[in-house]
Amino acid sequence: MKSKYLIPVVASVLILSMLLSASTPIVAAITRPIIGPKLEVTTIPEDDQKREKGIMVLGLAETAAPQLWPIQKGWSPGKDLLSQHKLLVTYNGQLLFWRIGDAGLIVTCNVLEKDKINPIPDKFGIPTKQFPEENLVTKLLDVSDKFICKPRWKQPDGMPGWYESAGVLDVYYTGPLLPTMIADNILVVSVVLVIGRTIVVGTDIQDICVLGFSMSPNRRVITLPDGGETYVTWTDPLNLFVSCEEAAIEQRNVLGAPIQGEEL
Amino acid sequence: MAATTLRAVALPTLQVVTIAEDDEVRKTGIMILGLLPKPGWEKPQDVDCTQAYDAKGVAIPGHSICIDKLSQHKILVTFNGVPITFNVACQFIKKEKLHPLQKPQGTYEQLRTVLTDESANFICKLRSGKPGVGVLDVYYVGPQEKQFIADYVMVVTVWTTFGRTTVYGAEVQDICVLGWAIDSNTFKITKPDGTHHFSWPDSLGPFVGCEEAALWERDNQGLPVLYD
Repeated sequence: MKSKYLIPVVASVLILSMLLSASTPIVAAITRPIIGPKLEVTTIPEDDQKREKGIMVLGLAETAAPQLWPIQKGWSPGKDLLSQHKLLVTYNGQLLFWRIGDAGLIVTCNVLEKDKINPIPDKFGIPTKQFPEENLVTKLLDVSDKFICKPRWKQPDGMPGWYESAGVLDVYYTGPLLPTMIADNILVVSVVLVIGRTIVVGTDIQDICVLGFSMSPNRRVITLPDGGETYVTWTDPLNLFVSCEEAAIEQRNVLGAPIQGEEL
Repeated sequence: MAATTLRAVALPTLQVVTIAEDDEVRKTGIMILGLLPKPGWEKPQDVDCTQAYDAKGVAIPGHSICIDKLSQHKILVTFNGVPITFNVACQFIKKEKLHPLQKPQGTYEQLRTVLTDESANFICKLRSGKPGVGVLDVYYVGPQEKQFIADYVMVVTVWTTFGRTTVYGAEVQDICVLGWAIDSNTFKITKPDGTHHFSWPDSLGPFVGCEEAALWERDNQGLPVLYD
């Protein structure tokens, strides 16, 4: 190769390698089979520590529940649209620190509602289920727009103006108070950290149970400092139920949102 | 998946998390075969779970109408922390107790566990919500007979392919197959196709372990501990 072409060719290669390296890290993490850096995300639900899940109550007890609901399963008025989860994020085994106001850790939540549908025959009467036992199918709906999640980070002692990657995730329900929203939900918590040009990601899965009404007979109403609002708390909103799924199906049925039929 | 030659290297893996939904206290999936307990069953049962009949109206001996052969598990699969689309396969291993008569390894070996691959009796279907996130619907499609009452090990294997490289991950879960629910609060829901869905607040009743509940139910059905 003539020397007059050598410098432009080398320069082109260098520029290309710089461009590629700038876009490689985040793409590499999910498109190449390499062991990449990641965040370890740990969440612990606080609402029901026996069943290990968050619980929200829409406050629909005043509708049909008392008349149709079996007494032994319990019902109680009041609503609670907050679910709380402890949150710990580590990178290579260590907690992270960042100045308040900096980007720090970015937490996003996705919420998927789990509904049950009954596969029904199509218009020609041909069954749409894949085998006879498939008489119920789980259908997932993205309901992330009906929830807001807010991390509340710890401020470490002796480090004013700093956050540390341990705290609490407050999850609020902001959607309509309807029986169709009663369900067992999947909460996916994703945490992102930008280190130079590399994006490091971590993800955890959690449960949030949205009930129409609490089934706990033990209720306590606490007046909040603003004097107008109250906070309602129960000892065990799921009461006899060991599963949110079954409780949700039964409550939906009683409140007029039964299992729907669909062609698969 | 065929066994591969092992090399002492750390390869990339998928991280799999599953959450059993049927019993969130005991962290296990639960299925109900719809058998009728025989006289002498002193734990809870629902009197509304009555005799089942076939399409011709003939009673099916020992079978009740209350069946739930679906178990559900939430699933999250990540690679380097990022949720990623994946393929899935499930294996099911039945755990049974055996009393070794011929070759006990010692006087301490009063019971030992025998494992049987029963994967042919189950189907697991992934219902995907978003990349890496979904629900595993697990169906029991085997015979509704007392021999299948047991605590099962469910092994969930996931994999995804990058070019010519396949990356794997695995997780273990519980599935408890009972003959009948040990609960007197049965809730019957009529589905749009006219069939019924049965629901119980707590299918294992007073039992804290599936293993013991399965032993009790098998014993009631005249199927005591096995021996060699």
